[in-house]
Amino acid sequence: MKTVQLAIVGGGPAGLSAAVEAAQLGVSVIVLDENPRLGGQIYRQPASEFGISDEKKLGKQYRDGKKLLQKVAAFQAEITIWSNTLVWGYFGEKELAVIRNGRAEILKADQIIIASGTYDRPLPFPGWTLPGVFGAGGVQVLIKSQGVLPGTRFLLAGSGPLQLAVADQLLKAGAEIVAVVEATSTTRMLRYLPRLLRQPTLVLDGIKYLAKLKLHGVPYIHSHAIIKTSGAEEVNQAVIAAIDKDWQPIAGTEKSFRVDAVCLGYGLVPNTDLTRLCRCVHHYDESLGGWIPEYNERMESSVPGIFVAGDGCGVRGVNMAIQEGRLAGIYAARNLVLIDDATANRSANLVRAKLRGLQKFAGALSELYCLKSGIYVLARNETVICRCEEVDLNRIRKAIGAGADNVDDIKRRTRAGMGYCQGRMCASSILTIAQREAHSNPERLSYLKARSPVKPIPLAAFLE
Amino acid sequence: MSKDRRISGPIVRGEPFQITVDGKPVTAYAGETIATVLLASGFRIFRHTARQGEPRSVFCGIGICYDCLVTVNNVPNQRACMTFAKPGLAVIRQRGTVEKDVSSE
Repeated sequence: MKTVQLAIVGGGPAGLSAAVEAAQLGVSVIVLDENPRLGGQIYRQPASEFGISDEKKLGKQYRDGKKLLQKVAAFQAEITIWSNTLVWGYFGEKELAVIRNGRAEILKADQIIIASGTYDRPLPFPGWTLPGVFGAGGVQVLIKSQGVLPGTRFLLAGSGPLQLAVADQLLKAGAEIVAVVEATSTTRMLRYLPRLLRQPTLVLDGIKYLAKLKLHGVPYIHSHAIIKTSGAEEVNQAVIAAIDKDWQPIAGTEKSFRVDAVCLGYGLVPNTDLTRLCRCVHHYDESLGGWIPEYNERMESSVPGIFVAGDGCGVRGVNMAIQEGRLAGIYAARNLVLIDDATANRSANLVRAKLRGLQKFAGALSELYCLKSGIYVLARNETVICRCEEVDLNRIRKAIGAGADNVDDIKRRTRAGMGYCQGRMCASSILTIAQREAHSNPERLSYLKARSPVKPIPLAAFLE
Repeated sequence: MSKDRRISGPIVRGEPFQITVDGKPVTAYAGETIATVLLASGFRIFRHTARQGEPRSVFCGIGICYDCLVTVNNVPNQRACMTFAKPGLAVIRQRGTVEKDVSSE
C-alpha cells in the first residue's frame, strides 16, 4: 500500500490549485485523475499525441490551463501525478481504492482533497436519448480536445452562458446553428445586469458571443425551451415552445427545426459520488446544483481531514474553484503541521478576500439562470428517466404512488439509478419528479446512497 | 458514409491508421478516442439498448453517463469516450449490455 501526505482527487482547476498551494508549503502530494491528461473539463487540453498549429485559436481557457499545468510541473519533487487513475472506492481510514493503468491499488493518505467537478444537468424530455442529442459540456470536449464535430446542423437549448460559449466554438469549427434557445427571459437578464457588471469582462464576452450569433444569422430565442426531439434512429427534428414564468411550455407556440444535433446546456450538477461515499454531511442547495457537501471556512468537510473544493461542492465556476482549491491546500498543510494556524490564516485571508469578490458575481449568475419547475414536467409517461436501466417516468410514478418516499426507495422498487452510471444521469431528475408527485422536499427525499465501486471496474485489475 | 467531421486546425493529427468498426476498416489517428473515430466517420449510433433496443450514442462525452458503450477487442461495455484508438482495434457496436462469453476460453 502506497502512502502519501495529501491525496487530491481530480486534476481540474480546483485540484491543481490545491496541489500547487500545498506543494509550496512542503506537502508531498499525489493528484489522481481518470483522464490521461490533467486539466479537468474546462482546462481540458488536446490529446498529447496531437500537434497544435496555432495556440491562439485554442482560446483563453486552454492558455489558463496550460499556465496552471506549468506551475504544477515546477513542483516535480512534491507533486506526483497519477493519471489514468479511477478512484472507485473508500472504506474509511483515508484509504482510497483506485484502479491505476488497469491495476487495483490502495492509496493511504493523511489528508484528502476531493475536487471531483461537475457535469451537464440531465433533463429528460421526449426523445432525449436519441443519438445526436448531447450535453453542452460533452460537445465542448469533443471540439476542443478531440477536434471533431458530432453533427452538422445544431440546435442549442438550455439556460446560462455556457451555451453561448459552445455556440461560438461550433461556429468557429464550421458547424451550422439553426437556433440558440435560452429559457431565461431577457427582461430577467437585464435586471441582473448591474450585479453581473462586477465582472465586466465576462459580460463583455457574453455580448461578443451574442454579436457573433447575429453576424452569422443565428436566431437567439429567449423565454423558450426545447420540448421534444424526434427521429427514427437519430435525431432529425427538434421542437421548441415558448414558456411561461415558471417555465411551463405554452400550448400552440411550438416551432420545429430540422437538425442532426442538439446540444443541451441546463446548468451543471456537482459530482458527489466520493463525498457521499466518504459519508460527508450534505445539504441541498438548488442554485448551486443540488446536493452538495457541507464544509467550513477551511474547505474541510464534516469528516476531519477530508476537504472539498471547486464545482464538486457547489457550482460556482472556474475562478472560485481555483481559490477554493488554494484554501483547501493551505489547511491540508496546516493539518499536517507543516505550518501553524497563524501562518495558515494569514495566507488564507488573502484568498478569502478574492473569494468574496468573486462570490457576488457567481451568486448573481447562479440565481439568474436557476431552473424553474416547469422545465421538469416535459417528460411523458413513456419517456426514459434512467438511461442505463431504461426506467420510464410511468414506473417511477407508480413507485411513488405505491408509497416510495425517498430516492433510494424509488431505486429499489424500479431499478432507476442501479445501472452503470450509478444514478449520475437520473438521480437529480428522480428528485424533482418525487418532489412534484409526492408533494415532498429534497430533505425528506434525500439522495442515492453512494456505493463502491462508484464506476464499473474490471475484475482483471485484481488478478495476480 | 458521410464526409469526415474532423475539424481542420488548430489540432494537427499525425499519421492515420486503421481500426475496424463492425468489421469494416475506418481511419483513426493517435490521440483520438473511439467516440471521436466513430463520430468523425459518421457513425452516430454506438449501440442498441438491452431491453427496448433503443439506439444510443455519446451523451455526456466525459465518462460519466456510460451511454457510449462499445465492445473493444472482445471486451464489452467499454466507454467509447474514454478509450483511445490504437492501430488494429476491433470495435463492435453492441446490442444490449453484452456479457463476455468465457466458455470457450
